[in-house]
Amino acid sequence: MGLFDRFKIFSKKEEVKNEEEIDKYDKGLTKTREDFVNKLSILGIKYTKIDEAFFEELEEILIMADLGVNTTMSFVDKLRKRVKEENISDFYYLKEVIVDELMLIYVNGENLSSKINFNNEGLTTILFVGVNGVGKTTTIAKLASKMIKEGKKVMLIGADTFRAGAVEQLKDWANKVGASFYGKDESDPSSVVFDGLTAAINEKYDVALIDTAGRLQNKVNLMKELEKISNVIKKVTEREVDETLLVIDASTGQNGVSQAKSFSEICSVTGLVLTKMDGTSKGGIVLSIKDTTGLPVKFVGFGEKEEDLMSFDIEKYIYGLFKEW
Amino acid sequence: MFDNLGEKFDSIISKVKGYGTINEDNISEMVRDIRVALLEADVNYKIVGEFVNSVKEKALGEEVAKSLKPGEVFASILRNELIKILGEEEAPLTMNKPINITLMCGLQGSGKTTTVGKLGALVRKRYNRKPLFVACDVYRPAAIDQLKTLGKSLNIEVYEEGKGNPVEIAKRAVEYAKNNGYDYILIDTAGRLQIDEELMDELVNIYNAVNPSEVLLVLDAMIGQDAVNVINGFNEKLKLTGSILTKMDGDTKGGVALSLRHLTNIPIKLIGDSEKLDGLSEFVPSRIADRILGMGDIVAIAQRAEEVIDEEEAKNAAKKLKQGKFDLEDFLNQMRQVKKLGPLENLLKLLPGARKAGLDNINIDPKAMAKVEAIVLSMTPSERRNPDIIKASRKQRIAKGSGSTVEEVNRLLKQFEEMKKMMKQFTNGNMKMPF
Repeated sequence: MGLFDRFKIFSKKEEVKNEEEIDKYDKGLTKTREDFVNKLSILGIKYTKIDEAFFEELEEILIMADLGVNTTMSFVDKLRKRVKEENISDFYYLKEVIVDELMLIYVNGENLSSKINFNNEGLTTILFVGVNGVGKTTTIAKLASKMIKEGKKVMLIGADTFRAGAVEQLKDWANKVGASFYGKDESDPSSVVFDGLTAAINEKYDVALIDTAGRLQNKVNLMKELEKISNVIKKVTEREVDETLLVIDASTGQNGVSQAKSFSEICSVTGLVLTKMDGTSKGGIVLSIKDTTGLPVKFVGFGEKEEDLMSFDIEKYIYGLFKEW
Repeated sequence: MFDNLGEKFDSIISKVKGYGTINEDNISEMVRDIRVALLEADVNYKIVGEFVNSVKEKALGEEVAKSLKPGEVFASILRNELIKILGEEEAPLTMNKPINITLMCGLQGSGKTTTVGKLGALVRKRYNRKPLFVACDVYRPAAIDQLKTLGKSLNIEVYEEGKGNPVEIAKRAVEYAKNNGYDYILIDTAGRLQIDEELMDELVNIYNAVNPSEVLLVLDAMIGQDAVNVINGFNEKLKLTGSILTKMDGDTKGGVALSLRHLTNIPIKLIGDSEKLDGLSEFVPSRIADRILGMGDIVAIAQRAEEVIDEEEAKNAAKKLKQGKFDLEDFLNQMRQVKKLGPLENLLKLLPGARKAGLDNINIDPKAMAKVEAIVLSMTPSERRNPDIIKASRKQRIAKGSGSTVEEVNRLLKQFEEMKKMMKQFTNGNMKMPF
């Protein structure tokens, strides 16, 4: 059964919430879909047979969607092989093959979960890292609000002591969503984390969300600082950091792959948060990063509102992308 | 910046050198390599096509075939083509009005507020302007605080009215500037998507209300193939006069820098290349092309030195060096001057051939320099002027005072002596500079 058939049954059976979620993906991906699917549709009209020129143009479309040269090349090679081996000449069938194969890049035989790894016996620590301006602080606020609604006791720790006004920004958010806040301007980020976590443990908080300064992944000293923060968390909580989430701007190009690699080396990233997805017509970086680093996406942001930050679901994502094709 | 792209180009050029000649057979391999390198750097797909075809055509032309050094000719073809897509001419800031009004716009997180701070410092220093910051980002929590903090550290006034109507704030700010002798108004606006009609209309209203002499789009250098849509989206609503690329000090391959001018005809005026508040540089196509091709950017080093180094101090030190009177006090001053140049890694990268010499991957621990400073500071003025008197017990005291060991104090003293010897040789003209 193809992906689309599965969705038809899915949406009939499942509760309203699921439909709402599909709807969000649908809306959030409008820009991408219009750009991407439009081009693919033209491709289907332009070519009467599946030949080399067809593959080359498909390659171009995928690269333009920020899928990356390597991921694209290996994808198109695979497609060439399947077309030859299965003697595919029907465009309608090829469409399904393309969609399925794109999803396979992400799934890759693994059982991926976008669920947060909660600590059932005490404080859950979630560390947010990323380059400058990707939306770390805003993501934390949205996530905090979600968790508070689920009945959790949440503390936000502002360890971005570098950017002017960053601690203020997080504090404003904490007040807005009803979370506690710990942070100090102009002090060492590791000591802020130490003090904040100690307080969170003593006061029996369920979750601590830790904001860090944006840093470019090639700045060795700043990356070392991050390593130290990560070690401080382990020391205070006497366990691994439950989640280290790398926040990436969806309009990022192939530098996203470099970000994923570098941050993983320093502080073992457990998943990605892809922000500002509604603003870009690309977003192929999801597949590119998964293909090259194996890191799954945990959340995706489709807008500025709190409920626009959603658990990532590859099936809904692919469905949202291709439903009009 | 451009690191990986430069490496790829290096290896392609050395391949050409190896072939000795360029013909239809071996060009296709090189063209493919260039194509992949550019695409990996997020250069726009269309530009890659044009660039590659143009390089191929010229490389197969007579000039290269006849040349005895095809590698060098090939490198210069690459350089010319790079300059061409980078926009040939430098685009300076608009400075022709008695009061210049600059409107800054861009997506969320592109670095507008930080860039406002940097630009304010730049126009004050280089163009002798008196800047005023205007806080029109009334949406993002603490955005006004951020601008105020920047204004405070730069000693530049910020006009703000809290969370009012940004159009009205901008209007009143212009009045305020006129009445208070400011002649460069920088309006910070909230980040917005180019497809957000409501917010884009707001920006147009600000534009109409203040009639800016400059409209700059702030763009993250790491943006992918979507760059073109963002730029066109903003340009359709506002008449952009230029753009500023931020975060160029990352390991971005900077494809947007290579695509923007050619695709949209909007010049890149400045690039943000460090987190410090003076980390904003002019975008000069020929110099950028040289950086990509590993030919360095000496002009940038010289400019930087001119800006931060105190000329009197430098002359003094040189005189003392010649007379052999250079002491630890002068050494300390020199070190502080060098520190002002910013991270040394950044300077090393600008040296010609830095990549080949492995200078692009050096990391200098700022703590090491701080330690040297601490040791010198723990000496008494007479010790600094006359290091020879520093014997065992003094060394122990200095080590204790600076939180270091006697070995570290010894090492510093030895290095200082060696340096003095070497400097003497330089100034006597007995030795050539090591590069």
